[in-house]
Amino acid sequence: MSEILKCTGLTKKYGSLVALNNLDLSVNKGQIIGLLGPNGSGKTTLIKLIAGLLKQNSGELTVNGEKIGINTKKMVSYLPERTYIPDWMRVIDIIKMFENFYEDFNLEKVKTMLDNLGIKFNQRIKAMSKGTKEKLQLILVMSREAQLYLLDEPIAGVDPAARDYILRTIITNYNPEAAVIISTHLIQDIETVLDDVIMIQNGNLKIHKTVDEIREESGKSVDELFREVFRC
Amino acid sequence: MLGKLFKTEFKASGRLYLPLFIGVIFFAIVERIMLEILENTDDSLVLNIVFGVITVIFVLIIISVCVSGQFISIYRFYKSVFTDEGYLTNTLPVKSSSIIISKLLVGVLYTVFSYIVLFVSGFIMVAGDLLINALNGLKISYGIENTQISLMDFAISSIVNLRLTLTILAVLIIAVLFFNILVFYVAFAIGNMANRKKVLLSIIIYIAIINVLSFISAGVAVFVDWLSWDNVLRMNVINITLAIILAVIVVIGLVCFFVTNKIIKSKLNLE
Repeated sequence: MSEILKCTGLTKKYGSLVALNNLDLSVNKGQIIGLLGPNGSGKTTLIKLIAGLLKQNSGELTVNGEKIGINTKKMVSYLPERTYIPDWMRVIDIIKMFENFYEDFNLEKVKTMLDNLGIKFNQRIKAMSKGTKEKLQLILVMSREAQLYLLDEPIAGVDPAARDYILRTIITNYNPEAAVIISTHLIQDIETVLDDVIMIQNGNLKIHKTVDEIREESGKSVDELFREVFRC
Repeated sequence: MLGKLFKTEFKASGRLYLPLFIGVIFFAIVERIMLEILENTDDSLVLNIVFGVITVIFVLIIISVCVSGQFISIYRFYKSVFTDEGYLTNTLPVKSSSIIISKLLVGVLYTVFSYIVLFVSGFIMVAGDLLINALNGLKISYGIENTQISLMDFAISSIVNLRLTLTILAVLIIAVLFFNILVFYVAFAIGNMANRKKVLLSIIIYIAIINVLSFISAGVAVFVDWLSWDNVLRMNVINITLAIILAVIVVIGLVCFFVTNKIIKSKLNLE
């Protein structure tokens, strides 16, 4: 399997606070990876660095062998934990924007998924609930034929029924040659779809194993292991 | 990609500017009609009250347009780059400099549109007979007819090269439009680096920059005053002054642009 993401000695500081400390990490194509850790562990910082929203203080970070920049932004499809679609837009406006800026955007996928969730093209973003906005964002992000998907808390704001739909969306819509990194606290909900697990604490890599390895070695589920490792 | 960004920004800003532009033109037409009615009818209290109310609304919309020219551009920049919308804007596969340039161009364009709309509304108000009356009144009050001095004669007699002066002045006006917006951009970019009270800090930084610029302006004034001791230079003092101001504005504007770009590229601090 070839490598899609590589971090070598990656360090990010906010003033005196070290968010990521000399992190070495490698992610292969064709995997769904759970990025887990307690609050303030550095998960979102790592995702923002990969998405090109932050710049590291030191270390190397590459996506498909390229340093973070315009080319990697073309390959990375990022779902932040914030709702970012401008309120004044209608659904059709944001779809057109994605179609304009991302060559890998698949309009047919969007149409199908919007139809499944009953979201209309002419619906105003302003009139949508927070959950519907999150679903729309996920649909947009998963409608790209990207090489690396970064999903920061994709299921936190939606009801359990919608969670199942979202997870099915992630599994069925990602390019098999791509990798998906999901950061979440709702481990039980996503455990069944994960191939690998990365656990970080205080900016340091704690565990990077496959889900099968975790189950075989510890005899525990990922959720149980998380609770044990990060017990307060 | 710059074209796509420009198109997106033009549409996003347009929804804020257009209602104001339409409002100004609409109320200018209503004002004009009301003026005609008032001139051709007997004095009526109701008509005067209606006219008064419409005039107040008209003036308020004109003030909004005057203020909005740059304010909307700055609001759009702040909202789409530094708030939650920044997650969308800053992950697009485009250069950060293209983002700034597209918003800057749209901002300047709509500011120019604002002035054109204000001019058109003014023309509607005093069109036809009223326009002629107004011009006659202006001529008499300034005694232009008696003294036989036109503005052009005055200008030619005062400076060596009027064409050069007008060219520098035109470039300067355009540069100022860009410059004013860029100073706000850099203030908001620096303010965004803070963790709390970002908008307040941005405004304080803007005021600080403006104060520094005042000192620089004072320096330019002293320099021009010193130049005017020389007879040859004194003849060109207007052109030299304008050229120095233009150079200062271009240099500081470029510094603002590069600092803003550097911050968005490497020091973005989204919540």
